[in-house]
Amino acid sequence: MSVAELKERHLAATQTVSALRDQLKQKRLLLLDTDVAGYSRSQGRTPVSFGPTDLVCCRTLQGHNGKVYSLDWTPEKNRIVSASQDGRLIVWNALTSQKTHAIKLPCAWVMTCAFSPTGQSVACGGLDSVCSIFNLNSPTDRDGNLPVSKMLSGHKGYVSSCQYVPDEDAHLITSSGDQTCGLWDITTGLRTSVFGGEFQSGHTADVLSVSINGSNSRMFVSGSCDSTARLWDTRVASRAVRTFHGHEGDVNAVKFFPDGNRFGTGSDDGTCRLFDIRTGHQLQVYYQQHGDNEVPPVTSIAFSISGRLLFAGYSNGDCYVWDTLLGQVVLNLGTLQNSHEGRISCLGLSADGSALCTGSWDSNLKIWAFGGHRKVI
Amino acid sequence: MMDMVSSSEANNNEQNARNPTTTSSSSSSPLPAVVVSSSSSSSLRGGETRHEPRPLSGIGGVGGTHPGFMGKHRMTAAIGYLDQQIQIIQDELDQLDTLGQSSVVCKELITSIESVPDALLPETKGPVETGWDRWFQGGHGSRNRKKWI
Repeated sequence: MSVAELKERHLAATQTVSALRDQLKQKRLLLLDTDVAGYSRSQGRTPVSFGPTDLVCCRTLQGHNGKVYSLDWTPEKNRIVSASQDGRLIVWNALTSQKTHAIKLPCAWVMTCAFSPTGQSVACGGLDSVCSIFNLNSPTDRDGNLPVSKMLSGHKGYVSSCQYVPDEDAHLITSSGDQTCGLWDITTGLRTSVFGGEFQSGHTADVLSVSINGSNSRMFVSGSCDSTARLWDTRVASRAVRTFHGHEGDVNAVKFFPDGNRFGTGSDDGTCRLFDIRTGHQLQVYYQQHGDNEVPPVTSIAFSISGRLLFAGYSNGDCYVWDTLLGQVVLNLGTLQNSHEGRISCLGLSADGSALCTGSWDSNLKIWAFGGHRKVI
Repeated sequence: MMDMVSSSEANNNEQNARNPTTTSSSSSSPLPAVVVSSSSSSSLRGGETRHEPRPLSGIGGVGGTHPGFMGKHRMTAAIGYLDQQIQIIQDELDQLDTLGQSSVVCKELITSIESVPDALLPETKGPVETGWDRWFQGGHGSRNRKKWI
């Protein structure tokens, strides 16, 4: 076939894809008879109501000398690892505010960090395109630094996000600026699978975040600069299980819903969205004007342990607490007393759901908990 | 967007730093053709010989500005990729015939949320775990409940 004929075929195929995608969009719209907010209102649900001193900042963790970019809790107890522009990871006991480790990184340009399920190691990655593993029980070297115990190399772009596969310290999933995600065997240091990549049915731009399904660790979701989120099965690396369209900007954050059947996203378009993994439905859009007609990007999201609350950090320093059922903002942690003085770049919930940790460009981390009167139904 | 480093400070991995999306996010826009183009932006510097596949948006983008540049092999591969996309979308369209409406899912969502005790809610299903209030106890295990205002 000549180049001209191939070009024609390419054009025809592109147009078919476009037409089919339109058809898909229309057909999906017909199935969206209601969103979550509409349905919840029809069922008589009313918004969560917080008193002025219900959710309070009960700890401020100070120690970083630069913007905090990422944080992660241990699956048990009260420890947090955080990563900062100052080129360090710090491991904190959030309850006592003590620092148990301060790890100077070989590459200062870190973007993400994660705690292993047993709490014995931490992982981090960034502009060096490598995911580095540190064993917290290792002896420090002559300079007092914790040595790298493993380097996971293979990505051809920055490592934007990493998460350990739950229940085991041996595997981890990364997302990268090279448009792929990776599943790694930490024991061997080798990449077991590459999700996406050239001519695979994967993301078509930088991948910015990943979240593993807590109920089924074979499934994970990724968010990308191509404005989509994709659901993956770790057994099938060649193509995504499903692609979720809707956002109109980079998808900066993805997080699985606690029940494992849905996930949330946060984007440069200023919205958060809730998607159902089995049907592919976009169940709800969480958007509210911030005043002055600005639409700040969403930088990070987390769900409370039941999923009733969605915490969303924005680039202007707001941290909205959304009632996920009613689709309304019920609190703004960014305007509370003792709040951060800069953008909130990362969020995470403790394993038992009793506390939220926020990390900010003001170099601090803060712990938020419910200190009001609790009514048990 | 991520404001990480100034260009003078970054190491030579900066060329891999995030680029804004070049593709339309609307589900009605064409999928990008993946081509090699020397006119792509920051990932190719002067003297750089490594060709990175760069997504191009728009239907006319395929080899439009560089007619001889994209070889037959790459074009064939791009067509194969598009054919795969067509199949995937077709499968999803067929699947939609068997899917329930969103209201069914919404009902399930409410049930799921209301079945889990949540420490951060003013009103929640029990049981309440004693550890929930540890953030307000002065000293470890003390029973003093302080309001941290």
